[in-house]
Amino acid sequence: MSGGSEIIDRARRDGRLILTESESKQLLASLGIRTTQMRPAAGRDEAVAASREVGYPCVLKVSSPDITHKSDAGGVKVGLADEQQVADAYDAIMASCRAQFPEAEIEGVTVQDMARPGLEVIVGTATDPQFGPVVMFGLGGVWVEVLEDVSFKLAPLTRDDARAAIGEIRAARLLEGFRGSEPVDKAALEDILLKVSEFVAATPEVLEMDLNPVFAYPDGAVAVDARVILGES
Amino acid sequence: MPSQTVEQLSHICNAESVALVGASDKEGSFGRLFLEGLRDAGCRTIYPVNPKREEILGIKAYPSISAIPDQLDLAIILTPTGSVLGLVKECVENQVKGAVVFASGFGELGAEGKELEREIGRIGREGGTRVIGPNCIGLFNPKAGVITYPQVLMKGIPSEPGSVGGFSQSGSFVDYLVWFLAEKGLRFSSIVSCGNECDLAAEDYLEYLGQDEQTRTIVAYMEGVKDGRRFFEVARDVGRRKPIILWKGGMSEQGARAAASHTGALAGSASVWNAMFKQTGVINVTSVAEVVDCAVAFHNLPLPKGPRVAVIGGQGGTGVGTADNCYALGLELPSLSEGTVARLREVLPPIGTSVGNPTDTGVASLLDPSLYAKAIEIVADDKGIDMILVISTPVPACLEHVAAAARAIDKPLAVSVYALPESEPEIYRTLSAQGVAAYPDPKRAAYVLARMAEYSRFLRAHQ
Repeated sequence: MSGGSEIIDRARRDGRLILTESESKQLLASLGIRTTQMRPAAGRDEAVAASREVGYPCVLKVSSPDITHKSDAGGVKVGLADEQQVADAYDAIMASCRAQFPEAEIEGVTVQDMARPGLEVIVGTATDPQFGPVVMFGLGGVWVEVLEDVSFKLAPLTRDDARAAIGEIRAARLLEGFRGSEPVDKAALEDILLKVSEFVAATPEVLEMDLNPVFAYPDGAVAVDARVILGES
Repeated sequence: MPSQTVEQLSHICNAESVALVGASDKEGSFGRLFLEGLRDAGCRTIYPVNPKREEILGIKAYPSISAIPDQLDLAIILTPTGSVLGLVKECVENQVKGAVVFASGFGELGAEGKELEREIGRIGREGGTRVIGPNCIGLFNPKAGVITYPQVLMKGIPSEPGSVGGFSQSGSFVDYLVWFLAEKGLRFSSIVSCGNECDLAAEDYLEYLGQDEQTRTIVAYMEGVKDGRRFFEVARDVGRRKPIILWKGGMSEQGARAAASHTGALAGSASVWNAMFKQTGVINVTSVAEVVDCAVAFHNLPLPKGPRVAVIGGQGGTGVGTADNCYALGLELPSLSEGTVARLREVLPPIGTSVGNPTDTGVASLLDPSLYAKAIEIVADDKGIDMILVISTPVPACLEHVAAAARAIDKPLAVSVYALPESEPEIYRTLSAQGVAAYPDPKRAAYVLARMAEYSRFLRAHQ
């Protein structure tokens, strides 16, 4: 597995400013952040073989440096229960993405395990023109766009800053357990914030990151999707 | 260990030898206003610079900075834009520690002016003459007798030293602010007008005031920041030792930013400044009234140990509405202890009063003004109460008792008086002179207490 700097260097050599999901997750894994397992597959048979290793149900996502909004392109199929469904999903993804992005270079798909449902949160970073790297925490998934319930801290964060970032969102009570659900593992979320904060504070090449959603569980948390954006050098 | 910049600023703000370039005896000129100001404020040694004069207002004048035989701490430059670069070079040659540049017509006019002011800043910084401005109104340090604020000089504001320090990126605002705060009984250490910040900038002034032993409270107005990262680091350090009351202009977002990530799109300037305030303990305010109200309270009152407030009202009181204000600002109004309730019942007559939180001393307090003081002192003894908000009638005898009680207790007390400052300014002057935090609206009193409780919580969390 490559380290963060190798991944960044490779993307820059290729003239890309947006890392693929696979690269983004490798980078997170190198920081010690849990992500969903993912295996690349260049064709239908490889996808089926990879799904056997990952287990069912699983997820297929298109892998292309040119397609960043994968769902919009019909490039994501979830809840695939067996080999046949994986094979069909592969064909459907290829057909849809080729139709919508005829110019795109498509490497194939990634086969990912389906994370068990959790509370969807977002962890992100951005670079402020005056204050430099900042870290964001908030309600994730689609909620981030609708509610914009997020809080910011300037990097590098202390453990107190991370705790405060989580406690400051309006929906903080959701994390405490709601209507019988167990409270989520806030220490695991703090760890993600701290790891991301330390990374961006030391890596000026990174302009923005989205870990969205991160599934927060009573025990741990896992980044289900991720995107890393590099600055123009 | 103070940084080099702090040491340089210490020399500049407490300058003992000052050249006034552009000194004049012409009536109505800044050259005369400032020369008289420096002389009257007690500036240690003044060197008027004017090539056409042997002496000005009886003080020996010099044709240039180079002609002055003394080691200068500060050159105050009043001459036009075109002369500034040459004068700063002359300051560097003569090892002058600092220069204040008043002239405008630099970066605020465009690229050419920006380039010129950058050059001035670079030459000064590299040569050891630190530059304040350009396009500023300079310094206010009563202890050193260095006062160049026009309003202050023309209105004759008391110039004895004090311990409120500050800086402002608006020159005229800081001139008024000194006046407003002086009216409230506050006195000053050093106040700096930042101007275009061609060399020294807000973060430097904050660092200096943080180190300055004379300064206990810091007030500031900012619109932008030159080195945000350094400002953050300095504020994080200073904010744990002294309250920084900052009005930051330019917090309205102009639409969403274009960005390739959700985080990038949401990370607007206001979000980031607000994050910075929370991480550093900076008390951010959004109006002149809030700057002044907070400066008075933070400077004069001890910090509350928690968020629990007791409201004590009198005749015409609006304790219930004030309680709403307190709740909305995040304060708590717990029940008073049984012991406190019993003691209040002993001193307050049974008719027309009510005991609790809020407590109402009723009409009885008009007949016996000492009831205010008694109620305040009893409530202040309650271990479940961190601070007191008093709503007082404007009757002088009542206010005297409130002021005496405020001094006698060791918890913060803010007073709301039923009197408009426009019609009864003397009431507020009298209370301010005694160090009482008095406001014409209970909501303003609740606001300052809430901000103090918030800062106190920040300090406890960062010990």
